[in-house]
Amino acid sequence: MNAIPHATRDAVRVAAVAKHHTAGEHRVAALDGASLTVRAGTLTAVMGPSGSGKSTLLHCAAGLDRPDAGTVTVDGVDLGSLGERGLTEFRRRRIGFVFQDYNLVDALTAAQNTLLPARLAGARAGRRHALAALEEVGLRDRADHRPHQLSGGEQQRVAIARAVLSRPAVLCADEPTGALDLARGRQVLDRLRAVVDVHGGTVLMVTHDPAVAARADRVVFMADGRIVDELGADGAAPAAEAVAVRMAGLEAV
Amino acid sequence: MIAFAMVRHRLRAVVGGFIALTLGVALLAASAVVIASSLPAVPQRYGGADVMAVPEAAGTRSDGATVARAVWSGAEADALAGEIAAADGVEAAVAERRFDARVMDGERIVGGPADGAPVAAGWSSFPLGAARMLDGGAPSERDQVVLPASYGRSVGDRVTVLTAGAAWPMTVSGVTDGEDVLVADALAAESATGVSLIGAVAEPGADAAAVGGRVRDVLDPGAEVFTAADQAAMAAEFDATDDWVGQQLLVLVGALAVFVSVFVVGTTFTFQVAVRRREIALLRAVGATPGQVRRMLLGEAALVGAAASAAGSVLGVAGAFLLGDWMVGRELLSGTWEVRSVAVPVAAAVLTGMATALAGVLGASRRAAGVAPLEALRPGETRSEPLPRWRLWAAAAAAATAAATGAATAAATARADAEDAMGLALGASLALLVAAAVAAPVHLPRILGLLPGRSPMAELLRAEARAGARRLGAVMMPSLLISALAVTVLGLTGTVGAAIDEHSRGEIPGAAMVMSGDEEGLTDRALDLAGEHAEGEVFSQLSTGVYAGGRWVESVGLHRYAPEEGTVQASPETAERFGWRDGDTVELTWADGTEGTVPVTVAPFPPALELWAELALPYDLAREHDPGAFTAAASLDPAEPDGLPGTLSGALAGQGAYVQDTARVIDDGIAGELRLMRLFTWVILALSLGYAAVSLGNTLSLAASARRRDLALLRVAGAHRWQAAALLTAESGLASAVGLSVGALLSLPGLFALGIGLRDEFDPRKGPVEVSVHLPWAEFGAVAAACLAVGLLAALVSASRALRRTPSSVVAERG
Repeated sequence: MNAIPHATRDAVRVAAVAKHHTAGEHRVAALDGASLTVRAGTLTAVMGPSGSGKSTLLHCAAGLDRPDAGTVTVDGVDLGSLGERGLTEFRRRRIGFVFQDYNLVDALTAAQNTLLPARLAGARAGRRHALAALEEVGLRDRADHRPHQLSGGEQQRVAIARAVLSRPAVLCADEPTGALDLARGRQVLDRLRAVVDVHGGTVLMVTHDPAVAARADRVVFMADGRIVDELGADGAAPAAEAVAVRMAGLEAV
Repeated sequence: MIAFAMVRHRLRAVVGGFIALTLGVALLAASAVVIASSLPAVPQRYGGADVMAVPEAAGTRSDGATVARAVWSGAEADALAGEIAAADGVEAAVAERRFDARVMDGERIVGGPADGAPVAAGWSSFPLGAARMLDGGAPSERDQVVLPASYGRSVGDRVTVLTAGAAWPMTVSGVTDGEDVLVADALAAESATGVSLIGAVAEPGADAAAVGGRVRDVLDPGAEVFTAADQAAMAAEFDATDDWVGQQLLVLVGALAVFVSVFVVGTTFTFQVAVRRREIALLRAVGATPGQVRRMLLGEAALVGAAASAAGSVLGVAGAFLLGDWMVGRELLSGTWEVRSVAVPVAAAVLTGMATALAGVLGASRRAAGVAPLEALRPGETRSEPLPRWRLWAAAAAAATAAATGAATAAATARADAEDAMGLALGASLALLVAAAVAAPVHLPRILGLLPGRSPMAELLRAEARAGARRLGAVMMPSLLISALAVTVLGLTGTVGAAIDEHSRGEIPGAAMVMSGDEEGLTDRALDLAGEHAEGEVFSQLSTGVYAGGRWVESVGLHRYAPEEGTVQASPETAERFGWRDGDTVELTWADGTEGTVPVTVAPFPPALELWAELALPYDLAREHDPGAFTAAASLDPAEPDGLPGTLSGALAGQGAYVQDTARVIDDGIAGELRLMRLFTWVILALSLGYAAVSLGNTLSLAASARRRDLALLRVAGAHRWQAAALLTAESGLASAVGLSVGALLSLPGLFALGIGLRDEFDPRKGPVEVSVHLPWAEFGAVAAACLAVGLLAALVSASRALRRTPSSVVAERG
């Protein structure tokens, strides 16, 4: 699969995307014309107060949810043009996921979980590939453990191994360290950085933690369903303090 | 791989479906093996024949089903057999002499027939059978007999062989492993009524079909020839067992097993999908297409189905032996029954089991495929699915059907069209039940919402009923079905039983009946003895037949009501059928194949004969032409009422007969019939209750484990463990109680309709009779109580399991 990074190419392009949720009588705009371009080979963090639409943006970018308006392009493919089955197949080939919670299938071992998307795609991925991917996240020796025998951090690293096995165009992570303590969170972040720095992959990550966001190449801020600000566009790494200040500003509004 | 890992991981969750399906396949396999083993087979007494020929068909017997055949006279048959024996490839040909006989050891009956055919035959018939001689040899003299080993006599023992007309003291000359009583051919020729079968044994190496062709050439064109080349046709013609009632019961059991298995497997997997939404969503998120999810569920069901089928067929084959023996013991199967066919019925049961598993999971897999991947990302939220639209439509359609058929019922009742009214009322009942079942999630919360009380528990119950309407619907379903089933079958049994008791006590003349100890019939000597103690003539019925123009005429030989000596009496219907007028002299062929002319009178028969006999003969005339058959029944008015049983029964013992009060005989007969009905009823109800237990246990334990977190929160909020358990138990109990009442109410109209339908089923000469509906409340109460107990117990067990862990550990648990 495609493992050659193209630093100048856009991995994800979200253009004027709108998404509404209906909760009872109320129609709530989760996304209101959000636009974002993620360059390949970078780690981008999305921040924003609760309800700003950052998770919805991630879901749309990952092809898990369909926007009401606007277009989402991943790896040059317009997701809106794909049917349910086409979208599913594209997702499992070109998009990886790491979520805060509920990541692994309880019935399967770490190795089996790692191979799951590839097996679903009918690819001839074997245990060798799973062990290699687990090796990269430092869990080769836990390959035959089931999720409930792993710590939260380990589960999250298995999820990363699963997400990168097929070398996806983009890895989407939703609060990947949200449920972890500091040390374990750092291990997980190290792995996400390695995806970008070692393998030239692309990561799009939602977080509310300035310290986590500071590990990104670029931080974008959302409010009211739109991108309102960003740090690191100039190539300078965003500092945690600066991120925290921007966030404080947004939440005060 | 995934399906396998899932099933292994969730063994506990699929165990309900597994148990239900295992039981289903076991019941099905056992029933199928027993049925397949009771299908017609060539009886052992013809197991050695290569070709068998019977005379041409001559209409049907009075039961409307049995084919009556013409008969060869002895001389005719012997000539034909001689000609056949001379044909190429034929080793031996036998004109079979078969007749009723009873073997007595003093006043004790020894042995008895294995099936419905007469037990005795001439020694020449021995080669037609598959039996082997175990000891001794052929009966070379008239006073020698060969007995089956099952009679428990040895060579040299003395016995008395009773035929219809004589008693023969005999010595046992040989013992076989067969079923026939074999006597010297000369004696058999005197004792049998003509010849009904000519059998041939082919020479070794001769082609049975070719020999059959040569036999056919010898016989007249109407005769039918069966060869060993077509076992099925041979079996259908010569099988004399009657396992129809038993087979019906088995078909019922099998159908019920399939129906309920589909139901339980469906519920199991539907719940699986509800409980596993997040996991399925996760699979969808990491790239499983809807089709893959559906196939995964089907794969899981196939695995469960395969395992259950394997376990079920092992249980079923073992069960078939027990079931068969049990049914033989209850006379639901003939005594010759044995397991003789296993592979095909078990294969059929396994296939049905697999199909059942897949059919059960079909709806669930469709629902699973509809799970959106995004559901994996919404933690902590149990989505209450909206009621699917099809349910409402289906419920509305069923209710509309009920209303329409109800209106049509009223119209039909007004037209006094009982048959239509009954069908429609049953339909209406059924439609109402379907509506009630499908719409349960709509009406059940509303019914439970009426629950009074301001205690927090009552409030919680009402709220939970609103939130978990679907779950409650699933809990209610088994009790709804059981209640409807119980009202219908118990009510039907009660109603039919009472009606039979009241309306079908036929008019048997005479206060006492002569009965035979083996229920095979009476000898002439027994009738003579009865005549000596009777006031007036004995009402004897020698069931025989004559042929008029080659057609069978169902006839009876009589003492009481006998036509004048030398004449026969036709019923007006029979006279009309053959164009006879009172006083005509008609040509008839007698039961033994000889021909004669006889004057006929035309007059209606007494009620006791009217329903079956077409022609009445003086007893002695009937006996003269039908020496081989025992007399079917006899009743009398005793000359000295009080002393009768002792003296007459003592005299009759040597004939294997006794007397009994007519009323008591009728009571016993009705009791026997009712016993059979009640047996059917309780088999149905016991099976349904068993399934309800599996189904409820399954549904409730799945529901309780899905609600573990809710229950833990309740405990954290301050509820006692027993309060949480009580909530679940009360919920299940209430749902079951509602199901029981609704099911009972909705099936009552159908029951009353059945009562109306029964009015024409009794004595047609008297027109419709008053049939009142009887619902045995005590028995229905017992079924309802058992069903309720199952519901409460299943809830209590699953609740206590779900509440075993500390609430904090459950609440803290992720997932």
